[in-house]
Amino acid sequence: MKTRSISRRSFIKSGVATAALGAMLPPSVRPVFAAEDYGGKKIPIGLQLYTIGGEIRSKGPEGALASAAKAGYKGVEFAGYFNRDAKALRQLLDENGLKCCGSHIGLNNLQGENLAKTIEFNHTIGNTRLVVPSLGGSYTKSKKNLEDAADIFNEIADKLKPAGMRVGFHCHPGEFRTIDGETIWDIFFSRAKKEVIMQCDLGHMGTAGVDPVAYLTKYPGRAATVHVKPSAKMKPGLRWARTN
Amino acid sequence: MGEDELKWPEIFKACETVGGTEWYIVEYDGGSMEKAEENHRNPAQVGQMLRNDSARLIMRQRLFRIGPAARLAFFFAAPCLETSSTFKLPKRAFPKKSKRSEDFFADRAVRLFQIELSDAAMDSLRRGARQYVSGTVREGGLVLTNIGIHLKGWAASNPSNKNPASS
Repeated sequence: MKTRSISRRSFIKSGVATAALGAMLPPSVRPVFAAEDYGGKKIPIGLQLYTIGGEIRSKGPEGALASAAKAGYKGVEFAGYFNRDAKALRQLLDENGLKCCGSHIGLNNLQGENLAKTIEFNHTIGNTRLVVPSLGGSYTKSKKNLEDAADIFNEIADKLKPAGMRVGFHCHPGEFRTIDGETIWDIFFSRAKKEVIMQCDLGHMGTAGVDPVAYLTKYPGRAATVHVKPSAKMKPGLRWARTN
Repeated sequence: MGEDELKWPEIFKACETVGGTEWYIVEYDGGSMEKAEENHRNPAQVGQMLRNDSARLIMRQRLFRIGPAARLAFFFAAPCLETSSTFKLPKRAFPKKSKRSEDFFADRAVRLFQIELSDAAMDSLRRGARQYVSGTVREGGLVLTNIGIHLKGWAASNPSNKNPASS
């Protein structure tokens, strides 16, 4: 059917800000892009592949990435590689016109002998953002532990810099509990270098009851990527209000 | 999405002004997306969702309250309303596209959309959620008649139909 409506794909293409402001306009009057309203930058939208784990299991990464691209996502963030090598993944990305906007990588893969392999792998898939999704309890028990962890990230950041890559840290609600009056997130990022990406999971921040805007402002230029999902503090009845 | 307490417009503004944000990355937790996608792929399940009492209740309300943040979520949750090719907007209502855009983005008011469907149209949507029916959309003083409407996307097949903002 011919229609003047905006497709799902076009909708994503037009940006989150467009969605925020324009989704309910009759399509024939829907503007093309609204990001100007938020500073004029057009920020692409990617998909964390953890989201479509079921899709990946049923279709394989080939089908899943095709689905993501078809839905209009510009990039994907990996959380595991489905037993595919880097070249195969890069081929999949290229075939679907997707970029790798990041990868969740365990800290151990950024240390010691593993680091060189990780750099090579991510270079092949075209990724420059290596984000640690969580830290073990030994890194978060005390302020000293967290400062040590930040120092480890600083060291990794220095090692990644020649490769044009950055390391990052992703938050869960637990990162906003306090130690000696400071949140884990604050202790870490007040010590971490600016090159260390502060990957704000906006939903988790909401769940933790903190204001993402305050953190984005307090640590300017640090949130190279953010995770967009609803807070668990939402009205009952929605199915996405889960956190892990 | 958008039904939580987060101030999404302010957050996105911060991302795009001071945050240094290069990518928005959509993520859902806990496998619920998987289930949602199953529903999305299965038209029979879509129909079942539409037949459940809560969804029917909401549809009968014919009221869609969309705030700025909810509009963000509208894609993710998205049984989008679409306008069919047969519908022609009154020229008087929309004098010029660029002007309409400017006016819309200058206005940060929360908009209230009312979508009116006849019982026959409702029955039709229950039988086939993606088949266009004719309805009336009201927003403020603007009344748009003979709008082609159908359900679309993930939320058409999801219990989030219980939520007017995602329906």
